[in-house]
Amino acid sequence: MKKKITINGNEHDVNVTHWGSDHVEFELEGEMFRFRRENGKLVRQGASQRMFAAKLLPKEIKQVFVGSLEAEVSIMSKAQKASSHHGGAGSLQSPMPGKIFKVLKHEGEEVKLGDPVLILEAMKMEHTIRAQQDGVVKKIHFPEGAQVQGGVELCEIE
Amino acid sequence: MKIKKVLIANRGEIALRVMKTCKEMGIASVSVFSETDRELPHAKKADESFGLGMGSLADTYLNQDKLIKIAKECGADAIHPGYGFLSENTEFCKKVGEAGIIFIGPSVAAIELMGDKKTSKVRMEEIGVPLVPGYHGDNQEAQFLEQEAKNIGFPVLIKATAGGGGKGMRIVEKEEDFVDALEGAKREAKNAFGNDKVLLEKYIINPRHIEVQLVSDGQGNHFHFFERECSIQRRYQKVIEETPSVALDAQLRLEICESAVKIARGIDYVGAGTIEFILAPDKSFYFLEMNTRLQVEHPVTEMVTGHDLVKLQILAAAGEAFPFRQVDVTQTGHAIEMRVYAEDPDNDFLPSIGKIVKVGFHEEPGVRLDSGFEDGNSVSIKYDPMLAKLIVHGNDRAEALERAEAALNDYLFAGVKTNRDYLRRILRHPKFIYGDIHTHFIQDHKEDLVRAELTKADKAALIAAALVGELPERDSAWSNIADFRNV
Repeated sequence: MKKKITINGNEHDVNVTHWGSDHVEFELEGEMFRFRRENGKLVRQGASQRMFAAKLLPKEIKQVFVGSLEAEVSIMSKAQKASSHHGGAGSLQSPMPGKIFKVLKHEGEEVKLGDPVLILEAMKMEHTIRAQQDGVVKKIHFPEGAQVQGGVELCEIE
Repeated sequence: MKIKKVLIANRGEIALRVMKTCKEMGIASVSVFSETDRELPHAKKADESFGLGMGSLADTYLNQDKLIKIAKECGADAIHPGYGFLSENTEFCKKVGEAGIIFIGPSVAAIELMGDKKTSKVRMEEIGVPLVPGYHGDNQEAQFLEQEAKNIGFPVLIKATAGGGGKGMRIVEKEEDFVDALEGAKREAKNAFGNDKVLLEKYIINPRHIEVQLVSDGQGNHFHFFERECSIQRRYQKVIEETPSVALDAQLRLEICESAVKIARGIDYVGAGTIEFILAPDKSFYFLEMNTRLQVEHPVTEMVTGHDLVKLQILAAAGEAFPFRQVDVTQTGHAIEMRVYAEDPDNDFLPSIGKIVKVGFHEEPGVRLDSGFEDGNSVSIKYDPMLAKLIVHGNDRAEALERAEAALNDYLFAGVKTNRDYLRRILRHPKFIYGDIHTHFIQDHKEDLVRAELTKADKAALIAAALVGELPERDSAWSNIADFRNV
């Protein structure tokens, strides 16, 4: 069973050959890995016999905790496309709910990749929203002081 | 006067911390909560709780009149302000007193004095506490300033008095560079702030932040509870604190602690306070400021001294004398506090929000978690991003570091992004392990503190855990957690 598995946003092709609640077997980057659940631990089978303490959380949580490792892992079947990021590089989204603290560029202004465009204030901290590409600011959707939700488009750059 | 009921004018972990001591002392506790915080434990665990309604901080936790009204209504005889919020607000302190309620903290005069950087420094000079050598006067002639710089000793920092953000600032290493640097700084200051007045200060390379915990009782006796080192900071925000500091030997420790006590005595202090010093590599130390309240990082002091600082605050506020002498206060073992923040260190420290699905596991000996959240709580953007303080104690620093690593693996705060792994990276840094730290540590070692690339074996383990976790037919998630728990 071919799967695409992303770890912290990086995609990996994984060929899962066995998938059970206490035993998994898969191929990653040309190497076979077998893990068993033994005495409450995840034990890598084979030469190394490395043991990991893993913490399993409800499905809606993307975080995986294994020993001192922590990562966001999501599993997609081959058919499923990697969830594309909201909008293209020209669309800047609010990463979280907050208040528009400052609008640094005006519509029609030229911007370079990495230029600060807006400052969002959340949790008493300022977060700078930067241009993801060179271009011209086409539209800024919110004025200073506006409250915005997470994941909404704040401005467009063309 | 005996205190029987305390209103806690704060939220989150510090409200719970005060509540715990009240309970142990047989004092009733009253908590307050904003509408946003309705589900948080501090809103539920007090003997009585009052809602502050919706609205901004000014309408809720900073609403002085509302808080005093609630205190009177429920018959509280004292108010504990925690840290932050109204803890160093003279107006509030005054109003509380006028309402016939005890403010658990120092006098209005002490808060006022220490709240003003200028007057506090003048007072410290009178008391005879070392200040960073400098010139803060009106004479701006180049020749005069050069002579002042020579008196201070190089390297010297030239700083625009109106300054900020590094503009109008110069570090001068040698005497012959001084005049040029002064002109540059003045030019820059004029352009940036329209004011070219500068001050001079001795530039301390790689300073450490050392602070001394003080508590003065209600009968004029002043005690220190040793030092804390808080050199691991990011943007002036402390991240990791520990005690004892590896930078102090017995002699220096005594000198610093006695200087702090001298301040407490000199200003006739009552209650808990902290004197912040900067310690130069040549072991000279200078007064920075005094915090006239309980500090966030007070638990490390409690871990090594065995004293409950909140209890001492309450006794002092009630006018009582402490039943011990300075020589009875001792330092045992080593304690480290890590501040767990809801933020993403790998994405510009962007604050994170969300639902905490699982805080973590049971407490172990030598491990303390002071958290304002429990399973199922949401982290709001309205308040400080600090989720919890993880405090560990060991017989020595090495053991404390081991416990810290283990504890970081246990307390997950699953559901929100935290700086857990970042804390681990600091703890594992060879210079931190060696104790070679200073206030620019995080800035200077930025490259070392980025997330390490995952090895193939690491990735495989993560994938395996994700695959096992994905199966619908497995038992309930929480029994699996217990099942998979590390030893």
